[in-house]
Amino acid sequence: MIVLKSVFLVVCIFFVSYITGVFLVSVAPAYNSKKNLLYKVMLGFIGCMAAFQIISIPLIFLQMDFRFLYYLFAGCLLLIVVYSVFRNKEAILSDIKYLGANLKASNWYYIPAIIVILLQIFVLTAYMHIDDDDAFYVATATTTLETNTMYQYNSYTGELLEAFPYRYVLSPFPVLLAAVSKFSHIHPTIVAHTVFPVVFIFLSYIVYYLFSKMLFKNKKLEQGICLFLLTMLNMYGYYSVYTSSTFLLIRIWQGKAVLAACILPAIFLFCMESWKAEFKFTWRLLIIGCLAASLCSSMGIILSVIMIGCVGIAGAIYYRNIRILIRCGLCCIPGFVLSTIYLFIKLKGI
Amino acid sequence: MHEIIQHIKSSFLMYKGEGCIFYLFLISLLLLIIMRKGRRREKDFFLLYSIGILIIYACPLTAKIIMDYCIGRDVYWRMFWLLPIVLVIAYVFTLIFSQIKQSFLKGIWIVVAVVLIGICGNSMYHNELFKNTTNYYKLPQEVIEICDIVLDDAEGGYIKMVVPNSLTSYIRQYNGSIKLAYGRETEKDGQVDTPEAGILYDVMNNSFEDPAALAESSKMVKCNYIVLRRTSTISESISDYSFEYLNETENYIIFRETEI
Repeated sequence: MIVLKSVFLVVCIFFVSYITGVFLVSVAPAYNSKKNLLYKVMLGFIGCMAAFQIISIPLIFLQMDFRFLYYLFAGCLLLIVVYSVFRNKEAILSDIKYLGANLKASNWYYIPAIIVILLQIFVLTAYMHIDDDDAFYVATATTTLETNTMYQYNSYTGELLEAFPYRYVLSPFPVLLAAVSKFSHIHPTIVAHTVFPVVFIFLSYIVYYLFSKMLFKNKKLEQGICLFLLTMLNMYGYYSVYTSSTFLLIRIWQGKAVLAACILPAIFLFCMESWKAEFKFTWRLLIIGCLAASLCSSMGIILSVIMIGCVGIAGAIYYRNIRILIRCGLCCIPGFVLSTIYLFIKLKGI
Repeated sequence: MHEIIQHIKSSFLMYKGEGCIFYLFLISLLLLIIMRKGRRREKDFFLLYSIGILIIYACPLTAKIIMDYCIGRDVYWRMFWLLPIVLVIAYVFTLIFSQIKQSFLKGIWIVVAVVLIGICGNSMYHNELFKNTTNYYKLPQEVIEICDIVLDDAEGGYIKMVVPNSLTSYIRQYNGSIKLAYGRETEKDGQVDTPEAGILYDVMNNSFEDPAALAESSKMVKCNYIVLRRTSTISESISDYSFEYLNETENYIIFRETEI
């Protein structure tokens, strides 16, 4: 039964991500040329994470019930899904036809990469890797569900906290885990250790696939080779425990791992798209990426700003256009706001 | 300044680890300059961005700001997450592939590339990293057994346990209603909810096991369950101090408070 529920949950997550991606693409006319279904899945997933971050932070500070956040977020998603399905019927049908045509065409170049990806997912779902950091991250999700509160009880002991855990409260990824668990009626530890690896490994390789598609446009063989080499580089990425490959293939259910292996590469993808388009319109996606990064980890607040800032400076020099730096600066506003709140909480000892 | 530079170096060595993948990345960046294949804009993007991040990482001034005010010194190595290491290597290797004309040599190059990656890196799939799983939670099975025993006994009532350090990380992952006297943060950082919990931690981890002290300090933090290792020397004498034997698993014995 748990296996069936887990499979259903994975399908739901990708379906909702796709429909949200269709919605996001439809509200930004410049992206109408993006017919790629996987791009919409990736964009929609990150969009959902960004939306969760925007909704959850004020509710956490107001010490609202977790269930209120859950129903509010679920309600927003439901509205978006229903609206998007009705409003974008043609786009969805077109994607399905395009996908069908793609599957019929000879895409054997991707098969080696797909085999390795499935192997990587299989190992992480069939075997277990015990990580002591789960004592906080996963236990925060179980605590959230048990107490119906968010960051008011010590996840390690279950006792009431005297002060906000300022280091973690701005990145409520475990609360998202609790929400997914509540939706699916699957224990959060099972969702973390079994469902999330499937979702996030797929998401990471969707990002890498989109990179290979962009770098080798209309060259399917090179795209397949590039993706295959990426899977091998990840598989042999255990030269230290600190690499993003290690976090991807060993502990991907943790927020910081999702940041390193999925969100930062996705933001980098948006940066590259913006660069290629001389920062004319794609740069707005960086705001969504910034918010998603801050949901995953407090590191994400800073690292996303550094990444976008570096791209902004390089872009301003390369294209001799100061507006590029300003646009990138605007994208970093969520990061600046959250960093300010973080420092304020830390200094005031709240 | 010297301290910062040392920290920059040590973070780099931590991230680089035992392999040469980072050097492969640097060589790939150099090849991007030399190679004629590939679109100019994309190559410039990889180059300028990577050089920018490396400068921010290595510059003592920016390093100090980031270490002290942003991400912390202990995790400064996370700056390397900003570098597109696997992407640049895969991109350059694929560009080399597309430059080769003969199909046979293309195939040879792919084999060489994979072997090079294997030699420079380290495989993820070690026995030490992955174990056979015995439950859907992917927690040690004994943790689940201990929790189920205690939950059955409490019948929905109050549960607060004191357990050996080997179990503190897992109990609350399985069930959020079970409270612990102290958690993993006590072993890691010395943090406790109350001074009494700190005393209990010291008693539990003292090489000299004292059943009276253990029982007394457990009651002070309102623990009604104690879990001891089978190898504990006080597993019999603890019963003299208002904690009775409840059940046991392969490696642990569970006691509950007799006075409620």
